[in-house]
Amino acid sequence: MTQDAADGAPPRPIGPNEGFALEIGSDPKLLPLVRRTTEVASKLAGLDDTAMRQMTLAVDEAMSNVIRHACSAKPGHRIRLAFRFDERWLVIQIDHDGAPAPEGGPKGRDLDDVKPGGLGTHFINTAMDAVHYEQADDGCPRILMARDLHRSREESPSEDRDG
Amino acid sequence: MKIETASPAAGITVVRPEGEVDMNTSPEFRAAVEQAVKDSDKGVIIDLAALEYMDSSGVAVLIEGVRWSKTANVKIILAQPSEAVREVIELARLQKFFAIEASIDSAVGSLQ
Repeated sequence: MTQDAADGAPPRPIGPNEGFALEIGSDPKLLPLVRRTTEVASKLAGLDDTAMRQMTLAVDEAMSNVIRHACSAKPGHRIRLAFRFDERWLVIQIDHDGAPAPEGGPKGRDLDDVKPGGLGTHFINTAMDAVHYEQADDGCPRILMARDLHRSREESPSEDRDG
Repeated sequence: MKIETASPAAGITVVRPEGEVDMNTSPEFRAAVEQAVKDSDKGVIIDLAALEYMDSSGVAVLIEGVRWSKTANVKIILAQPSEAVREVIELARLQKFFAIEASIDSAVGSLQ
């Protein structure tokens, strides 16, 4: 077992020769490609269909946030989405050249306060067991997320966690 | 994504999105729901049977739809959500916020 995300620690970044990656421009038309890739990664990691859909939603929301907020919904930015998994963890890493996330990551809204918007962070935190917003060695923003593959499929969705 | 609209009874509009609602396609979905609320004096049914995927921007459209319908004094009902869409609504803990019917017929009946 690796030390990825153990005790809430940040997952170990995905090295250039590990796992597999998809690099796209900051174009929301490419989000279906992100979803199909996440579905394949989740299946290869051994997740069931419900967990696969949660992961697909979470990665789609994270990538949408990067395009909408970090890249101001403008083309011309590059976003790299990488996956690595072992017997315990599925790790997802998003590197991009847009603006960094707010300190501590985006905040979700109170679910009891029903209004449009603010659900993406909740979906991400529900699917993932660790979410960290940091700076890569090259200074660019990075989002590291990890799913514990041993998490019970019957487990109820977690409460919101701060990024 | 493809969106069809129909009127199964006077004053009732059915909006049927097909495919995937995400950041790219939700503006089209939003426009269709908004127009349906304007065009209907009894109610709007959003048929979710053929919707294979919906992200938070799609949920936001549904929440906006409820708000628009209250302002217009019409009802809005979600009908026969696919498993994937039902999971998203439950993840958002909105299953009690929306009126959800198992079929178009039952949705139409509840609006009559």
